Amino acid sequence: MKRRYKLHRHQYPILAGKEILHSNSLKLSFELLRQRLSEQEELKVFFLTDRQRESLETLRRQLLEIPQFSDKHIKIICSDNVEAEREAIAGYAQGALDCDVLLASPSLNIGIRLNGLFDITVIESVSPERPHTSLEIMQMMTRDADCPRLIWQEKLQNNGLTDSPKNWLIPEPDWEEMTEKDWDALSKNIEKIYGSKTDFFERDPISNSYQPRRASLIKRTIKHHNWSIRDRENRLENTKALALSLGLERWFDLQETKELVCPQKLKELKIAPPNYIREELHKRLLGELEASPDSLARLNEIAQDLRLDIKSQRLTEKQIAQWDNKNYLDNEERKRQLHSGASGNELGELVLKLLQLGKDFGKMKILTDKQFKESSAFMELEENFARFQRLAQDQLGLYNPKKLETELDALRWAGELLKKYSYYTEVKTEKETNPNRERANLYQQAKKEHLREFNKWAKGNKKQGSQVRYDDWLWFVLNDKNETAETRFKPKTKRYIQTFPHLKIEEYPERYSAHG
Amino acid sequence: MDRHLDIDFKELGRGQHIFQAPQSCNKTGSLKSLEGERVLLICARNSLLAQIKSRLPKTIQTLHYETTIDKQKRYKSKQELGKGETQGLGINYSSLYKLSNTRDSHRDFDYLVIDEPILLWSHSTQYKPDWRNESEYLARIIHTPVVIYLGADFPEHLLEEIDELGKLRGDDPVEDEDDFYIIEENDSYDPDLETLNEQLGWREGW
Repeated sequence: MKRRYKLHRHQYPILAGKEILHSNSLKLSFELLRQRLSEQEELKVFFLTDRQRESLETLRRQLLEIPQFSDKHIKIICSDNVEAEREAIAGYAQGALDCDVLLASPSLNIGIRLNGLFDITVIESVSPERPHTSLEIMQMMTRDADCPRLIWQEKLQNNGLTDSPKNWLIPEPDWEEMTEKDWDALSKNIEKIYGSKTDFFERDPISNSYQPRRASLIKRTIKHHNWSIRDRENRLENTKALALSLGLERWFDLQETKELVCPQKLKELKIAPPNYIREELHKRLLGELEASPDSLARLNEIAQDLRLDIKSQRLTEKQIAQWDNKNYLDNEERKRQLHSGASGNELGELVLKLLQLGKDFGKMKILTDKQFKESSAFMELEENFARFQRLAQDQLGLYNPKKLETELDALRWAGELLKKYSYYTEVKTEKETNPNRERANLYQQAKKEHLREFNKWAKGNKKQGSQVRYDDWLWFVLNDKNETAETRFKPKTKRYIQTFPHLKIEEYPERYSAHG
Repeated sequence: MDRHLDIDFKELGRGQHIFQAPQSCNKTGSLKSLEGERVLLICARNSLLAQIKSRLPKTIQTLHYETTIDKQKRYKSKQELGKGETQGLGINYSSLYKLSNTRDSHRDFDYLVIDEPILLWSHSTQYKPDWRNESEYLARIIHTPVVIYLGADFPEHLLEEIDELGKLRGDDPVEDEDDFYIIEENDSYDPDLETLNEQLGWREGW
């Protein structure tokens, strides 16, 4: 057979001397890691998963809740921060690792060089429903070509792939004999599988017929799609065969892997629940859902930690927020350092600015989104958001919101930051603050209360082409460091301010015997 | 056994060349031999491009995007990419359309390198497939004198497509025994490896 390319093939048993342990659950993988960590304290772990960002955060939280991992530096690299971590990734190719555990999404699964960095690699491929073939799984397994031990976490698939469009084979047509009708049928078939993602076909507006834009891409899609399904139908066996062909010393089937761990220890290992269960637990703690043994145990734990005198079997949002997944002590210490002038970092300085911007309304502070957006603190945050977000991720484990996209994202991010300094915060949206459009009615009434001061300021602050509004004066006064105007604002103005979307900031009550 | 490949890509003649070797055999590292040459590197991941540029700054001097001072990505315009101030350019498949129809200057390359084709095959069909990128991709393969594919695996449908592209390029067909050979480490023969492959029938028929 003649071919129009040259194949230069190099064979090397890259898995020689290595072992792969097949795991079918996170619990089993964690127990294997924990076991390894007890033998080797400085264990470096690479955890590659096809989960998305939120799930990676859950994974990190789950790892940190295992005592042996609690002091480990666990780093996440995924599509959101891969650019920001560019230098670190370049360093990995040179053998410089900057963490103990690297949790990565598929953004690092193929091609990236990580040789000689890790003692153990965990590949969590969730299920064959995800589009990774055995060849791609092998690519993931050999990211660190020197790593001696691999755990492959994959559920056994007893009934093959599920019956859904993405797992349907596409019959390959006779490409030479394609009619418009055939292209039409093919386009519908592909679009059923890939949703609206394709733009392979276009309808000619004159003839109203389907035309392929790039037949080569359509062919590739069908061939690659079918190949992927055929491989994934037997992904476990295919991966095992491929691993052995690459010189693997030992493959531990699931049963053999299970024999490596003590069943009792596996039973005792507690894994923090994923988000949907956490949300359910949250509702149980609030009394919105019926209490369960787990929620009662958690309630008692929180009550004990916060020294709460619980009379009913429910907590408030504020109490749950104060506990902050058991991070309350760290948060309190951060707050103590902040107010003793020892915070000494950019995040601490930003928190102080936010607290200064928030104005006293009774027992709470309020910072409206409008006022915040007029402040120098916001401008600093907006200009340097990527840096602030990285600092918050690394120092506080704070990830959301990731971008300043929607109107209140900056305020939300500020609220999350304050929580890490032991302040209770709530973002109140337009729906909550101005449900009956009260603001419009209040405007004139509020303006009358401080008309003289407003007019005086407006004279010196005329805007070209637009009217100076009462609001402009309010945000100016509230952002003025030297003013304590909020204390002399009259009732209608105070009410008016509160009709704007805002951040509510409150102190937590001091815990009884907190320092005893 | 030494797994380190040391390929001089400059010795390759006109045509399509597939280099198949497992991870970490220095396939990509061998691009060092193309320092100072006009090289277009196409990948399906920006993280991969960035790491290659960092490893081989004299081969791949620029990418289709740059990182700003606050570590944000800034994608270059068609005009910027068309200027061709540097010899080696790394670009994501999804930005290939920016190399098309650049009126001011048409940019040609002597070497086209496709790193991890299997990833590119997935990316081009599953991640925002776009006929404009595909058109440029095909044009580059057809018109660049030396095309190099670097990867650990080449399933049969990839090879079929590469073969078809060879027809469009007008490359002469060669017999299997002429175009197929195994690069042995340090020209040494490793009986264990052969036995292993025989036992497992790996890539039977190739």
